[in-house]
Amino acid sequence: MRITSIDLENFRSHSRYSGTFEKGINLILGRNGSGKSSIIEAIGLALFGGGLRDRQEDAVRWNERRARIKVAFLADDGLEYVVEKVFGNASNHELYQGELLVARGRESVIEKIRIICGLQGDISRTFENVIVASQNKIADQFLGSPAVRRDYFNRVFQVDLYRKISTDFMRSYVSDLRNEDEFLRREIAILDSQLERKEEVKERVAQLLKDLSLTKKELDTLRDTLTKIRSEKTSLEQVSREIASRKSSLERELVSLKDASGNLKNNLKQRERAVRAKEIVDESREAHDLYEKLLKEENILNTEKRRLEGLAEESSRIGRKISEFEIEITRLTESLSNKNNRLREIDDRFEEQKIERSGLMKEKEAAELESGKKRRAYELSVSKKKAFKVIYEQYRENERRINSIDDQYASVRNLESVEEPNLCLQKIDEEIEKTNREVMILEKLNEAKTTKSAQKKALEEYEDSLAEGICPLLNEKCRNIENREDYGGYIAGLIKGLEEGERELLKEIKKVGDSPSRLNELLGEKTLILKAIEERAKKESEKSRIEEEKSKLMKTHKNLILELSSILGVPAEVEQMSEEIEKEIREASTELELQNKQVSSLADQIKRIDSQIEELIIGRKKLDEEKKETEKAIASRRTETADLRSSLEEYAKELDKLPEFNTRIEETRRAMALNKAGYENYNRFATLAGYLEEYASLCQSSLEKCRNTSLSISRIRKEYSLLQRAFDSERFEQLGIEEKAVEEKYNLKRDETVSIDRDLLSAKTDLENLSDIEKQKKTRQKTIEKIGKKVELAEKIRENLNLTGERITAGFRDAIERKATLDYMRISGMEETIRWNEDYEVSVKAPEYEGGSIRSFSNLSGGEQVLVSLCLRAAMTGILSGARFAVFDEPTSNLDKERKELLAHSLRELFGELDQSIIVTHDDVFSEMAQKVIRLEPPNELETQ
Amino acid sequence: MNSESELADLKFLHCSDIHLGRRPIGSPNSPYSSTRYEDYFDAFEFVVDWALAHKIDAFFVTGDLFDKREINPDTLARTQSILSRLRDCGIRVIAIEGNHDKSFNVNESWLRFLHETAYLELLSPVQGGNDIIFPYVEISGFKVYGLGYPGFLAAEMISKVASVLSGRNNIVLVHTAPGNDSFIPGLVTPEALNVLRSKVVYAGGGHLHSQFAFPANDPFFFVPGSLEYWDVWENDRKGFYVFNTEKEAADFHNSRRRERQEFSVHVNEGEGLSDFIEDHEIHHGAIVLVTVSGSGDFNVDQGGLEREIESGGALKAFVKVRRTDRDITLDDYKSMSARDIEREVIMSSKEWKEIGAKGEELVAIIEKMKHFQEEGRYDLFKDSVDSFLESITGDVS
Ligand SMILES: Nc1ncnc2c1ncn2[C@@H]1O[C@H](COP(=O)(O)OP(=O)(O)OP(=O)(O)O)[C@@H](O)[C@H]1O
Ligand SMILES: [Mg+2]
Repeated sequence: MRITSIDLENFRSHSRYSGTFEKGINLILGRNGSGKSSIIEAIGLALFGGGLRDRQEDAVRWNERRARIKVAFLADDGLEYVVEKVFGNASNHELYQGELLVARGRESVIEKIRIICGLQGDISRTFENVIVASQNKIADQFLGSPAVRRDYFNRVFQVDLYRKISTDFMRSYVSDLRNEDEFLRREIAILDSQLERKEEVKERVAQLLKDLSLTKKELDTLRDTLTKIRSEKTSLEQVSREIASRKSSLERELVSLKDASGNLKNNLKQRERAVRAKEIVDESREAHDLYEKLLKEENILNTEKRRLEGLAEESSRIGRKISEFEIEITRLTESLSNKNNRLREIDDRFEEQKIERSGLMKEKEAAELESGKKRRAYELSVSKKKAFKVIYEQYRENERRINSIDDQYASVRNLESVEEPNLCLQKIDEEIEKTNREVMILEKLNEAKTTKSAQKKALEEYEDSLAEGICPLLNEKCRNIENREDYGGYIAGLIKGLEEGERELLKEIKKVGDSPSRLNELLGEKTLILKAIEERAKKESEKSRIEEEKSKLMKTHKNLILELSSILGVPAEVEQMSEEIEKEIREASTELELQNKQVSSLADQIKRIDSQIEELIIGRKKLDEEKKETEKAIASRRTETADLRSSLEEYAKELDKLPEFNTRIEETRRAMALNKAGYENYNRFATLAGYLEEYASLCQSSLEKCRNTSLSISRIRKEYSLLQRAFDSERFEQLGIEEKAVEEKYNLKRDETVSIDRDLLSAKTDLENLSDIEKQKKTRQKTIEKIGKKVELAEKIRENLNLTGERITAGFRDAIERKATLDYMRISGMEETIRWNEDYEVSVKAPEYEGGSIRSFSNLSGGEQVLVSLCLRAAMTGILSGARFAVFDEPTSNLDKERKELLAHSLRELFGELDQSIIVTHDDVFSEMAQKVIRLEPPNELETQ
Repeated sequence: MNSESELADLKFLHCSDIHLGRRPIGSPNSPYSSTRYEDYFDAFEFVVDWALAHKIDAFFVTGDLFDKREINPDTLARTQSILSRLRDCGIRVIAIEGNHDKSFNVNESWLRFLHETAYLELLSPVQGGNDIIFPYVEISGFKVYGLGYPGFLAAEMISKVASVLSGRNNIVLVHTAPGNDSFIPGLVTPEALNVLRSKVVYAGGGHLHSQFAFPANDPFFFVPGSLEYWDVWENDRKGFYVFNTEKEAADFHNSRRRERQEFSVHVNEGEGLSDFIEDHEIHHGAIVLVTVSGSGDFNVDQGGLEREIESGGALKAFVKVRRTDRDITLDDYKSMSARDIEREVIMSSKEWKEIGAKGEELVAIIEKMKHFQEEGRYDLFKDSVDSFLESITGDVS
């Protein structure tokens, strides 16, 4: 695996840190306290759940509440995983693959990482002991007493487990086997004792079989006898049953005859009663009808009478009610006069309050008038201040302008120190004229010189032909020339003359030769001067403009001061004026405030009185309403009383009729008493008389039934006597006795058979059980044999486990030792070998050719110890951690420069096989060999940058 | 009739590990490199031709369509043009990511780009609120799920997807293969695959470059292998599967790929390989692989022989020399891990052999003993030790 990036938030000194890491060797460089070790801790905590120097809470940045670590790493499956841990006042531990959440919670995240990174055992331990070599602890592991070392490395190698299995689970297993063995043996002993009975049981089975067949035969004969007796008995029983049935039907018929005759008697009696009832009914019919009519009349009269009695009662109730109403009316009248009194009182109070209020109103108006005056005074001073401020600002602006004008003026003024340019111009012009003349001369001289030299050249060129008298123009003999003697001499003389002239001219030319360049210079100077003049003119005009402006500004200045003092009324310094104005405003505003307070206090008083008046008005209105209500109540009570009186009169009229009704009722009752006996008789017998015909027909049918029953009785009697003669009762009794005796015998025999059978069955199962037991014994014996073998093997396994643990340890030690030696030789440049014995004691051995001396680890120098440890650690990481990832915190303390350099060169050998290594160091020497160098600045410096 | 009859008779083509855009390592601008670059496209084109000719119903790619996460414009354009032939015929292409083309970031995924431009449909699990969600596409009643490359989480993801599958008309595509090999990361144990057996009609795997069907009898999980040789030394069957839904059976078809000749020769002590070319017929354009073995002092000029074979017409030659007489060297030992050492010690122990325990079985039982002791599970410990002893006492008697 390898880490690709780390992000920290509030972890130790890092408030925020992000860094990326590369495949291969990564260096973290930085000064003390820059947070290098902290990064290592963060990796350990997030990925492996360990490796902190103190408690987790202490790793949260001071004064912060929550730390966050995010580490992205590439696993061997080529996928990038991201683990994120948050701790402090909230906590969270999550592992992602891409966007997929793979695990959540410390336990499952660490377990997943363990699988993904191909680690074994306790991974935080692997991290702390194998992956990370902590600062200052690199050599520690190899120091200490043998016991401590053995303990430590056994833990690191994680081979303790072999010994543990041997002494723990494997031992339990062996003792389990032994217990099983013992148990089986005990069981076999028990089985043996059971098997002793086998022969005995076999004999018993044979005897029982014989007995059984004998008793079965006897049982058969008995059964035959019993069957014969029973069949005879059954036929006799059949006859006796028929006799009994006849007897019972006879008895039944007799009973029914008796019933029928009873019925007949009864019906006859009833018919007689009905005949008599009919006679009585016929006699009393008239009286009955009259009575009924009277009864109706009485009912009507009675109802009317009851109504009148009700009226009488109602009259007396109304009388009571009228007197009640009268009492109430007096009470209400009293309350009415009371209310009138209270109304008068309220009216008086209202008048008083009104007078007080108008007084206060007047006072308030006066105060408001005063307050208006004060406000105007205040506003005046405020507007004065505003005006003052406006002008004051103008004044300030003006002042600033004056200052700037002064500056401008100063810059213009220093012009005067320069020399008068017009004078210079004149001088230069003169000079130019002179030089111009010289140039003209020079041109002329040059021309003359060229003519001379051309003549000379022509003469020289044609000297030969001329010497022979040939004209160079006509190319033929020229008589002019021909005639001259010593022509050559002449020509030479001419040339000489020309040369002379030339020399003269050259002298002249030299005198004025530099005139053109001088002319140029002068012309240049002149333009400069012209420019200066122009400039000067500009500045001059500027200056006069500035002066003019300044005087204007000064005038304004004076005017403004005048204006300002006119605002104030008195002349004074400008600053003083401004203060004066402020003061005036302050005073005006305090006075205004005081006056306003006075006004508002008066307003408050008026308000108070207003609210009292209001209250009075409300009270009066309420009382008025109450009074009206009382008046209404009195009136309504009066009308009600009048109504009641009139109905009372009506009732009295009706009640006059009551005595008449009483006499009419009396008469009717008397007539009713006369007819009552007839009425009652009719009612009693009418029903019975109605049944007369029915009773007659019932009598007829009862008679018929009696006749039929007596006929059937005589028939059954005849049959019964016939059967009785046919039944032999003696024989029947004898048969009963015989049957019982045989039956008893049979039952006895049967019980005997059953018991023999049962005995046989049990004996047989007994026998089967015994053979089962025999089988069981055999399997147990086999198991014991097997357990014996297993125990033997298990004991060997225990030994082997111990041995294997040791061998593996030795194998690890060996591999680590060899790899470490290779690296050590390369880095130290010496032939010494590292040795690591069973006690994990490290030593360094010189080669044989140098005597093969051995130096123990504690005898090595500090630097040598670090180097040897480093090699061992690198080898351990390579071999023991499947993660192919290592971290070294300050591995170079104690190393001299030379060793450091050697180490730097060997970094690739030491850590090249790993996917990634992270090395924390102060030394720049390593940076060349690293794939990536991460430089940390101390946090406080970063912050101030 | 029931819905099953509507599902009948569909043909799904399944290929994997196409590695488009791959160039052999080394010699970047050589003709060999550019020929091989073409080979991967040719192999893919061949499968697509087949698919069009046989009118298949859907086309599955179970990972590593591309050889790299970042591809060049040429590779993209050519892939698009091949895929568009399927698209034009209405054949849906369902793809998942493999370890080679899996993007670390959704916005940088070319497969996602092809998905968004409708050249293929990319399936990959996404994180839901609490659980992982497995999106699927439905093809005529069959639900096709894609798991992508789950790496070390293969077993876990497979069991998760198994728990959401209902019925049997499901197809699962995943870039993994059955194996116990800890050397190749990203494989999954056969036991872990078995949870799918009753839940799918077809499971398509990848990652391994040789054809493989699991289990041997009545297989449901199919790895077609890569189409071309990813590494020239690969020598197993390679091709694509065509699954017929009516027959519920998958037929394997070979892919078309570059010819590859493999020779192995033995050299005696003191001899060389001067007449290799005369003794072996080299095919034009083939990749030729030669393994030379020998012991003692023999002399083979690997580079020379390679050049000689190449001038005989081969596209490329590789010669490997294996000495049969050398022990494990310290360098070999150096790279041994703790686990290797542990195994080595256990396997070579005479004491264990004496009691009849040896080999992988022994390593496994010791592993179990350690595990159960650590977990404090005496019951399981006892069971497994007991059955182990049972087996060896059985052997003894
Ligand atoms: N919880 C914390 N909050 C803030 N600062 C902390 C916290 N814990 C430790 N520190 C400080 O963080 C600083 C960095 O510590 P660290 O050990 O990482 O430094 P370093 O770079 O390894 O230094 P050195 O080179 O000395 O080993 C130290 O000054 C330490 O006191
Ligand atoms: Mg530190």
